[in-house]
Amino acid sequence: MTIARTNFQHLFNPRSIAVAGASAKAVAQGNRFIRGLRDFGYKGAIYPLHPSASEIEGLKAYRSLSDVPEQIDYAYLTVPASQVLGVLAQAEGRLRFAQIMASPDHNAGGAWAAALKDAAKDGNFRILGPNCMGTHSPRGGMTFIDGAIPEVGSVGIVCQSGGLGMDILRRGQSLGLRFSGLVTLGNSIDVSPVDLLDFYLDDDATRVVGMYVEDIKDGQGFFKRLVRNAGRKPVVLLVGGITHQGSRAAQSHTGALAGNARAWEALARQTGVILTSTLDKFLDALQVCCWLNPRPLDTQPTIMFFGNGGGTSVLAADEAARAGFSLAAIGDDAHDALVKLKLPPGSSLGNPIDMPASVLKEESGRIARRVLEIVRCMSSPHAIVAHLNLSVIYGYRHIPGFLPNLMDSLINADKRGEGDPHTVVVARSDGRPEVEAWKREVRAGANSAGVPVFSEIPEAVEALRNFCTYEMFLGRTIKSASAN
Amino acid sequence: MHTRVTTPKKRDLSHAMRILADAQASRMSALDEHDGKALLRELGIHTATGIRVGVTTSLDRAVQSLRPPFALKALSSRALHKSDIGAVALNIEDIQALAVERDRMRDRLAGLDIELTGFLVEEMVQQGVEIVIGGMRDPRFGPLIMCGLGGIFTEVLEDVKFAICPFGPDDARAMLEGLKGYRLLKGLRGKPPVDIEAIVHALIALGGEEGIFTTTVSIAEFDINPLIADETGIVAVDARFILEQGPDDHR
Repeated sequence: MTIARTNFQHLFNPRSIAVAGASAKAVAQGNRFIRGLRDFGYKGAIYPLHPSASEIEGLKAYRSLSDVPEQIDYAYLTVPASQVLGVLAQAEGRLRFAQIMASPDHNAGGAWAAALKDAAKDGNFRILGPNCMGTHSPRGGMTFIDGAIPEVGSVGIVCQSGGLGMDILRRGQSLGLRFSGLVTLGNSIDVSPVDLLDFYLDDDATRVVGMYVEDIKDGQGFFKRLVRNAGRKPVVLLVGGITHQGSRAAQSHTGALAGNARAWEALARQTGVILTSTLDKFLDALQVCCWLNPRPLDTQPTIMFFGNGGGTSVLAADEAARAGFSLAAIGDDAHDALVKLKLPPGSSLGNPIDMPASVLKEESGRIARRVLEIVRCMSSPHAIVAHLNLSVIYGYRHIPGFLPNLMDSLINADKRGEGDPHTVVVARSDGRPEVEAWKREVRAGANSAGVPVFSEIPEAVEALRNFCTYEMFLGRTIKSASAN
Repeated sequence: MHTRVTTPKKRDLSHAMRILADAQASRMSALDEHDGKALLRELGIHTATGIRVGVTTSLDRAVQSLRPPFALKALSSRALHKSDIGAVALNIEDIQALAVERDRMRDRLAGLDIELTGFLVEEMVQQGVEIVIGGMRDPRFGPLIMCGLGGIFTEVLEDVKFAICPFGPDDARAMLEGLKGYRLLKGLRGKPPVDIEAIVHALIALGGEEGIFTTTVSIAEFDINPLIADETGIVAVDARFILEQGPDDHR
């Protein structure tokens, strides 16, 4: 740990990048990285490093870091482990960050890591990795991921696995997430997940932080930084190996009970971080944190379901109950107002509100807006889950504007206010290509209005449950602050 | 609703620290129950009223201030599972029976290598809701405090919650509220609720910002099992503090 706080702006906004591991003859990983930088719109200087070649990817190549004519903000090293120290030995205080992809040889791993740390100390630079894949930073025009979208977003990721980092980015993009940064840290021998958490928590571009960790390194430091955050910025965790992080041999009963996920569960309860157990749940939690405005809670949250499908609605209510939601009541006033709409037969106006597609199609899909307006104003649930069985709705494709009108009604973008219920959309499909196309349309429309979209109701309920647990934490924090 | 505005005054832990230092200086691997409870009292956690007696001391004078029925426990500077080896006797009616039981227990334990340091005679504690509090050091997060409902709730259902130290009163309450058996503390079937704030105070004395487990490294792990909680407060009935071995102690 360095004494002075590292300025990670140079990592996320590098003016100069050196690349070791590009070839003059073949398309190696380093070449692909350089091509990716150009495609992504990187504007700074790129310096390929090579022991003999004079030109790589149309750029002048340099023998070593000491030959490069300026300070290097970021060096991307895909050379084998045996060559890494040689490249870094030339840094001579001219380098800020080195990201090392190589994995240590199993037998010499410890010694290699120690030598790397010494090199970083001598050369006054920081190491990302080793055993990782790169850094994605749209604000700096830098990426290592083929197919990454250059748009600057608000989700900041720290990931101790390179491959999973690429999954998070690509699958997150498909869900509509855009990133303020994504750093793969691998073995994290120098820069730790806590260092980057610290950066993201202070970073104005980042609205939510997501972390995949296998070895948190500085657990107390992590805990204390999260306590200091006090839930101001939501943090979502996916912890690898959580089921076999057993405790050491214990003499006490307490020690014997302490294994597995106990400490992580305590961390979540004490700091308000959202602990998830799968990649999908992690991404879903990022969606809600990214788009919903938290409203501190001090009671059990209520939920309202609206959509087509009788059995689906019944199962939805079961799922909500299991997750600790109560169904928002539809009072007499609201019920009277709904009756006055004189909906065609087939609807069930309790909660869940079940409106078959044959009713949803009324007014070319605009009828839903009037129903939801009554619900929002008179029933005020904490959250509304609007679910569409697109397989059935697709049968009404002959009605002009049905789907766009229906989506407008659900999202209600122009009229949404601060205290409104959280709205999430569930777009259910049967997998037919034409229905999948509609699902993509639903997602695009919802995402552009800042509304999370899920494929099935249980996923939406779980994401909302996670978000409400965070809102309960905020409620507790506020109450305790006002009591003191 | 807790609207406590004053911060609890800082407790003087110098005597507690001396108990730990003395035990470490004499190379004990654990505090015996008598010292463990003395430590708890220094933290403001009530314990059963008791007196340490020797292996042959005459009991008439020694325990005359205690009210029968008595509990008798063997004391050891090792962490014992007392009930497994017959080192506990409960509900002893009078001093005569106590003397007989003490001699019998001494003879029974004579063959075992348990570093007997005497006996503890205590008054029996009234019934209430059994809870457990413990502490251990996690390799990633450092000191953790555990709290749960006692008996089968801990043994079978593992209905316990942990908290990373240091934590505050709200965290301690959230920990208790997270227990499946929380309703037992809130009073079931006409029973009054137990003094939850007393449990919160105990948790803070151990794992709060100034808590002894947070601020000292000499305690490796501990179990206070059980504590009896009722509407008037909590009383620790058993306590095992396992000590960190000193740096020069590589036997």
